[in-house]
Amino acid sequence: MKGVLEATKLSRRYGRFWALRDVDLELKAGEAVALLGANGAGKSTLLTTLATLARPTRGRIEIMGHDPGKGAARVRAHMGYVAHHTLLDDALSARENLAYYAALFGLDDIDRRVHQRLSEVGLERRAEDRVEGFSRGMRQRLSLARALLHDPSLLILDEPFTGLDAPGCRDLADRLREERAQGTSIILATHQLERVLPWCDRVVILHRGRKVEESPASTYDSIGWAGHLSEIAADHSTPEGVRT
Amino acid sequence: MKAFWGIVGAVLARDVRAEWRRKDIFTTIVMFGLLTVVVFVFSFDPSRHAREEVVPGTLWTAFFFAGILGLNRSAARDSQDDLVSGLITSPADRGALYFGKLLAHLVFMLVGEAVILPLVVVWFDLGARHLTPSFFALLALGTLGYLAVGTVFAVVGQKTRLREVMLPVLLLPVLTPLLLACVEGTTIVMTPDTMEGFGAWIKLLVGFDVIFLVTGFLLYGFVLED
Repeated sequence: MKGVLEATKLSRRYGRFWALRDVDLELKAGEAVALLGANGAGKSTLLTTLATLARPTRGRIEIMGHDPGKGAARVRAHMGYVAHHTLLDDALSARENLAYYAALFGLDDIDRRVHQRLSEVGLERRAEDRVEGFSRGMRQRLSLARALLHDPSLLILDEPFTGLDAPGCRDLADRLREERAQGTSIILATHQLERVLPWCDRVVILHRGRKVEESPASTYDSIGWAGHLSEIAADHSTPEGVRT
Repeated sequence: MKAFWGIVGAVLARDVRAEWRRKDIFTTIVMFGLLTVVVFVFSFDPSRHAREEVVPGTLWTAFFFAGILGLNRSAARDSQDDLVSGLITSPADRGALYFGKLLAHLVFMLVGEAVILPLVVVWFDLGARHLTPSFFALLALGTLGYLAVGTVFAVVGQKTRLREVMLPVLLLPVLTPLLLACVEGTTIVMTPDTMEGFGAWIKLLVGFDVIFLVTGFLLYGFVLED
């Protein structure tokens, strides 16, 4: 399989605090990886760095064969990003928001693409409604439609299930599973591993900015992952403790 | 080139459409501008002071400080729901984003000025002799230069802890030559029977605008991403 993402010795420092230290990560076409870790483990820092929102202090990233430091626009054209915030303008309608992002990505046939993505996330009947009237679940679905608008090869999602009720989580997980089945590579941070384990290939655990474990997702089906996470935190109570 | 202007148009259309629905930037500019004019009218009795002494200061103080609030509001709106990250993670040309934002700010500011100016005209009894093409050229060049710098610094200000305070602190020192040219040029327009020296101030404004439009175009991406 072709490599979509390759991060080598990725580190990010804020002042004197290392939020990310020497993280290696590889993602092949059509693969899905879940990032797991306690709050402050470095998941969001890793994802914002991969999403080109922050520059790594050290290390190298290659996405679709391009170095974001040298050709960020080429990288961004292949990447979709769903963040804590929706990145949507509340004063605009669902359709207007997507049309705006389609123009930023320089896409052709904007009306058709927007209509198609809105249909896929079940918002075609609310296309002309302003986002300010949307529930958290609807906003999240629209945010996913925004991220998928340009058919990205890589989808980066930071806590996509936050604030969603059970049906909302299920719908979003199903949508992501479909995207993965269509060949989109996915990397996501979540505290709700049970939502993604059925369709993720690997699970990467971060602790205090370091990658402490990387295993096939099937491993976590048979063990209690929440307990396992606590064990890891205890094992790596010193910053130097890294299991390989 | 078509893609470049497509992005400019998309950013401009989004900002104007959102403002048309919210009206918060427009309200901020107009309310603050009108209040400033009213304070000046009560401080300097128009019947006892020559126009050339009062009008330039009143006009440009109102426009500049109202503009600062408007720019801050615009940048704060982009920070809300992290719309800035939406811009950064897109492959859109940063120069096009800059011109889109600049044009949107220009629309907000010109509409605000169109409301504030008639009040100044009425209170200071300005006539056709004052509201000449030279005056409007000065107004347009001054506003454009102001926003060429302000559009960049509004993003910088939002990234600091002090936010609203930081924009005027950064902006006003850089704008000193522009402010000087605007006030002096307006003084000449308001002074009866002479236009001596007006051309030099217009040249300064054109030079300022060109330098900061090019600088903003080149730097906006770095400012946005860092």
